[in-house]
This record gives sequence, structure tokens and C-alpha cells, in this order.
Amino acid sequence: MAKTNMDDQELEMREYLVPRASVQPLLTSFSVVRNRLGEVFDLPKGDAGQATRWWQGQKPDDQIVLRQALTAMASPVIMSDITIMRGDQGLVQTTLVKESLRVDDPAFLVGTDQGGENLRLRRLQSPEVMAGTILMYLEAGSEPGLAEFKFEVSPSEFLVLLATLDLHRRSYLISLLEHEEMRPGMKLEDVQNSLSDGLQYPDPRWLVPFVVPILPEKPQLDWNALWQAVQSLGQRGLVKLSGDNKELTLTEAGALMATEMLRKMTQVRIASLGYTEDSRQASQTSFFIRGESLIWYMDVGAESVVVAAVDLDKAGELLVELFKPVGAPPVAAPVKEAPGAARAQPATAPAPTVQAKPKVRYCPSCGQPATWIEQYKRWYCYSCQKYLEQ
Amino acid sequence: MNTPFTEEERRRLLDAYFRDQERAEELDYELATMVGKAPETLSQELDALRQRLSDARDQYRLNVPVLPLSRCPITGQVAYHSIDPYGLDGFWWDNQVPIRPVEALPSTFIMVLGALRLGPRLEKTPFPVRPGPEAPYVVPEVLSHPQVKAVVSTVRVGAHTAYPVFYYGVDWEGEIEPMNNWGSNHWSYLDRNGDLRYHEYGAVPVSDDSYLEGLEVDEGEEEDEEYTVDYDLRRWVEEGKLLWIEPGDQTMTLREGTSGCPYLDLPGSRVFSLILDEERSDDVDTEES
Repeated sequence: MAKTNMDDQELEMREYLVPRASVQPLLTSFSVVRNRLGEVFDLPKGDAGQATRWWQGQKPDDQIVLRQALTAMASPVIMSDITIMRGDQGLVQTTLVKESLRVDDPAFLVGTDQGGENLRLRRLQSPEVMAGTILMYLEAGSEPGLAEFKFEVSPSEFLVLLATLDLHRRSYLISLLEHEEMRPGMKLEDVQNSLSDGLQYPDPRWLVPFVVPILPEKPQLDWNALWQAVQSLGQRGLVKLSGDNKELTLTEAGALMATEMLRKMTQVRIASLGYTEDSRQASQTSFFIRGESLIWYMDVGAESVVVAAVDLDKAGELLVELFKPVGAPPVAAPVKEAPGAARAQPATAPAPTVQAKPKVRYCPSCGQPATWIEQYKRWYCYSCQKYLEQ
Repeated sequence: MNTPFTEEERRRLLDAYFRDQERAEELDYELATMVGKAPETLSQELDALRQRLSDARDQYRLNVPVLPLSRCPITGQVAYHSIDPYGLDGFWWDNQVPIRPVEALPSTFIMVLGALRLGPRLEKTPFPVRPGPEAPYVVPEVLSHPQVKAVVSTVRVGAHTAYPVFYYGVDWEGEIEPMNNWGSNHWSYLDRNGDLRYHEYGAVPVSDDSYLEGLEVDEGEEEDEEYTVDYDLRRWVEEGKLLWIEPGDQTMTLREGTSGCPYLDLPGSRVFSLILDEERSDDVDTEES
């Protein structure tokens, strides 16, 4: 499977390659002001001399764009990790950063090359360009249909549902290979195995592994939790338990979703970090899946996950909202804070377009809740401005 | 040479430039006044000097510091603008031919004006420097636009203290004619579409209209806006139209209100300065607004 960044055919814009090791020295020598969000980028210290030589090798016109990109990385007001999986083939990963609170101002896409040595930067006229590109992937060459479909589940139920859908797809593929009819029932034990597989193998072609990376904590669902989740999904009319409680079958609603996922064309994962109007840290995690004929939107909140079928227009609106900054992050203090000094508040209340996530790891130094940074798969403490030990 | 250049690197560049420039002028004169055919070597030397001068200007433009000078209250972005912080003898400060890189500024940028409180000694500048008056001011005709705000900050320039005042706004185009940027004879920047916006001989405060001398104005041509200057910053700060950044604040945090504002009632001349060859003079019309 090819792991690539946006290629020129997908986004017709110039790409700039920047050595990762040059970024920190350049930010320092250019006296770039950084904010708390910008510190999330995990960049090596680098060598100032090499960075200067690299910079001076760039064309003056390029230097203008590169300087804008560097300042956007140093002081973003919103940072969105975007992962796009098209069919089962191409995985696209990039991070959108935007420095301005003005909605239609330019943004930058920041990715890394195969070896991780270089950053790949692209300037977007506005985040709407990215939203439009994702929308194009979701449209996938055919107008999606419409369906009244919306339900809300807990994060655990959501994972079990995805594990069930993965199992259904796996069973379907096996039945094809074995020239057998597909059994309608799925053993609870197999659902649990599907979930374990999804948690163990980071294969983004399956739903569970695609979703898990941006959940705040790698879930550990024991048999009891699985059982409770299945019961709840049954109450919501998505699955039906057999009389002996050992098997489940999909209801009409569940079967619609499962059929859609069998031939999913595009799946998109967006995890945005930002700040509220009163400078509180916040985040929002969303998924879009283009099934055979519908677009599925999944909004992962602290306590619940909303799943809905949406039309293309609604998907477009949601995407634009996801890239819309709300408030400015606090600037990074150039000197270490004095003990007892005011610290950044943890995310608690949701902003109009961003939702707070549960905090499940705490910084051993200051005791403040840490934030999961998907891009680096690490926890970050905004108070101490450092990553937690893994 | 580093990017941005260090003070020492800049000094070497300027010293070499001024030396070459002086020699080039001598040669130019010599060749122009020479009777008979000039020796080839003199022409070659002059060509080489001119090439060196051109290269030096390029080096200066590429390596002049682009510093965080302000922050836009609308977009929240830090405004990075070129400036020569080591002294007024840098080409950045040449009012007639300022050497500056293309500025990439927040989409809300309208213009930057400024003031400069002179230090104990002046630089030997072979070109005119117009750094503004010694105390910061605002332009009421621009700042009173409902969608416009300004931000005053502080930056050291050699032995002097400078006060850039950035104007930001939305929906101002067509209603405001930007003024020539601080110390320069033109207004330019790169807009959000990446297009260069440029305007020469834009509006300037009435106390600094020397640029009009010698210019022929076509009959019927629309006259430039007449702008005035206001040194009483208090009311603008009170109204929330003028924000400020604490001197030395590396985070460029915007502050509002008059409490603790260090820019009110600053001492210094209210007359625009013209600096040339270590001497300061009043810049033509010195009418107070």
C-alpha cells in the first residue's frame, strides 16, 4: 500500500520541500513568535549553519512563501491532522495549519516525505480548498444518495459497532473466497476478535484501526464491556442478539451500514486542535466515510459519537466548519513561567465548532491534563510545553 | 553572510558599498569629463564597481532582518516586516530608493507609518532618511474608519527608538487611500492572493508633502487625500482604535486601554525629521495638525 502525500494531480499547487532539521534554527534566526499550538510540531534542534545555507539556496520568491509557512507552523490558530484513505489503495496524510483567525485567509498543508527527513509544504488559498478536495474524494465520481439515518452511541459502542462492521466485511470477503454463502449471524467472540485485531494491527483499510489512532486512549474493552456495548447497540436498533446471547445479527438499519461499508470508496479522518474564544484548548475529531451510495459522518465527542448520513452539501458545510478557527492560542512564553504563574486552562467546555475531549493522561511534572497529538502519537503537556514520556 | 545579517556583516557590506560608490562616482566623473578616448581599464573598473554595487544591494535586500513588529487585532497574526534595526545608514532607510524585500503581511494590512526618537548621535547617511517625527502619531482620517484599527509598538534602531504604527482593517479598499509606508516613497506589499500591491507617491501627512515638489499634476486628475496627524493618542487608545505592544514584549501581545500604556505623551519633536549626512532638519512644511 502506498503511503503518500497529496500529489500534484490531486491538489494543483506548488510543493516546497523543507529539511525538518532546518525548521527550528530558521524559526530562531528569524525571531518567529510561537504559540502553544505551534509547539506541538516535534522538530529536531538542527544546525543553524546548515539551515542558513539551505535557506540561501532558495529562490527569493520561494522564500516569501516559505517564510509564511514557517510562521504559520510556529503560530497556528488551528491545526488539523487529515488522513484520507481512498478505496484500499492510497493513504494521504497531511496537517493543515492556519495562522489567521480570518476564515478565508490562506492555510498551509504540512506533510513529511517517505524518509521523514523533509517537510512537504503547500500553500492553500484558503482552507476551503482543502474542504473542496475532500469533498471531491467523498463524491468519488458519483452523486451520493440521501438517507434519514442518525444515531448517537457511546465511544465504546461506536468501537464495537465498527468491529462488527469490519467482521461483516471480513466474513463477506471470506465467503467470496470460499464460494460459500455468507452466514447472517456473527459470534460475539468473533466480534471481540475483530476488535482485538483492529487494535493490534494498524491497517487503515479496516474501520477500527482507521479510527483508533485519534481516540484519546487505546481502548481496552473486556468481555463485559463488549457485552454491554452490544446490548446498547441492540437497544438502538442496530443489532439483534440471538436467544442464547452468543450471536448477533444486523437489523435492517445495521445491514444498511454494513452494506455501505463493504464497498466504501473513501474514508477521511480529521482531528483538529484549536482554541476557544477565551483561549482554552479544544479539539474535534470527525470521520467521513463514502460508502457505496451514502456519505457517513461521525463526530467523536467526549461522551458520545454521533453517526449520520449526510448529503454532499452538508458534508461541505461540516468540512468548512472543521477548519474554521475560533480563538487564538496563548503565545508561547519566551521565558519559563514562574511557579504558580497562570497556566493554560485545559479544555472543558466545547466551543461552537470544537468539542472538548476527555483527558486521560496527566503530566507527571505539573499534574495538568495532557493532549494526545495524533501526528506524533504522543501526549503533549501544554503547561510544561513538552511531550510526556511514552 | 547570515540571514538575517549580523550587525558586523551589515557594517562590512555598507562600508564596502559606500567606498565602491564613492569610487564609482569619481570614475564616472572622470570618464565623463575626459578628453579623448578613455582607457579601457577605467571603463572596466567602473563596470565591475557597478556590478559589485548591484550585488551588494541584492545581498542587503535578501538579508535585511524581517522582524516581528506588530500583531493584527483582527487576524491575530504577528506582522513580520523588514527593517534595518542597526542604524539609519542602511539602505532600508533610503527614502528615495529604499531597499526592502517584498513584504508578506496579514491580509488586513493597510499601511505602516512610524516615528523615531533620535538617539545621541546620527549616522552618516549619503541619502535622505525620513523616519517620521520623534513621537508616534495616528492619522485620524484613516483610523476613524469603522473597520480600521492601529497598533503601535517599539523597536530599537541603532541608537534610536522607533515606533512603528501598523494600520489593519477589513472592507477598507475604495474608502481609504493608503499612505506611503514608513520611511519610504511608496506603498507596497504582497496581498493574500500572492499579488504585489504597489502604489507610488500615495498620500502622506500634510506636514510631509515634499514629494509633491517638482511633480506635475494633470488637469482633472484626482488629488491625493489630505491626511492630518494626531499626536494625542489617548483618545484613540480609549476608544479601542489604537492598541499597543509593550516595549520589549517578544510575544507581541496586544494590549488595550490607557492603563500602563507607555506611548501616551511621549517626549520628542512633533515635526517630521529629514536626516542627511549626520544632520537632522525639519522636513519641509512643519505645520502642526
